[in-house]
Amino acid sequence: MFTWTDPLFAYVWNFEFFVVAFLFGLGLATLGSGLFTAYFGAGKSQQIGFGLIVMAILVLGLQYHQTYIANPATFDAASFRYGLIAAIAAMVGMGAGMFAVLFILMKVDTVDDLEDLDLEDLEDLDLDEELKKLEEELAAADDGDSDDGGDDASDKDADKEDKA
Amino acid sequence: MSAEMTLALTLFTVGFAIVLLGMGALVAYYGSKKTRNAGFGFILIGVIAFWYWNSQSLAGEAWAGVAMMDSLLAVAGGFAGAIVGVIIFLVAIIKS
Repeated sequence: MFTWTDPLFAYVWNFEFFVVAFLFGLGLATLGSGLFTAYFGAGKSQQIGFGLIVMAILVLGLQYHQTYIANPATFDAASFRYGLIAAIAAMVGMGAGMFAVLFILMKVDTVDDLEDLDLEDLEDLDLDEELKKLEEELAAADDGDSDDGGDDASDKDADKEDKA
Repeated sequence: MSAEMTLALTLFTVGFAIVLLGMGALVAYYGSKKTRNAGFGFILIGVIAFWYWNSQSLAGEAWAGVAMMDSLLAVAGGFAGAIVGVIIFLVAIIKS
């Protein structure tokens, strides 16, 4: 029912593994998110959580029924078991790989990588000189504004000029 | 060794090798100096794990009986189901 023969390599793909793992993953994900939302949510969110739990129970229950109870069964029990073992083993392997990578990266001293940064430009900067330049520019801009008395001048400034 | 144990060991090795090769390539490309060397080390470990899996399964040794392609289908199906479940959860929350 779930098999497909690849015309290129003449390989018979058994998609029953995919279907049972898909349904189980779907059921677990909706059950987990539903439990989380039903516990931490309030009002509408909590109701959505209960809805997700019902959906998960339906999916997992249907899969269990079609695997172990229905006669004739839609899914093969051996395919379900092997698919589950394969998915869990691959996820554990990936977790172990990530743990190994992160563990080694944390143990490796990567402080030397900071030497790659080009700090020479920062060392050449004279901060006092830069500050003086900035103050002069600001002062020049202020003088320009007060001389103009233009649109940007506030009402108080305009009143002071009138009194003078 | 039982068939279940053989399958679990095979898929564990494949998952371990894939992660080490992928993460090693990223670390070797974006890292510098010691980090880059660590990335090349990860790639080396990943290649060794991949070679071990290849010698045990494809070369007709202890893991040869595992239906590898069908098992990878199961892994892909598990991930796809979990992703669809999370999408359903997010759609329900966002639409409420």
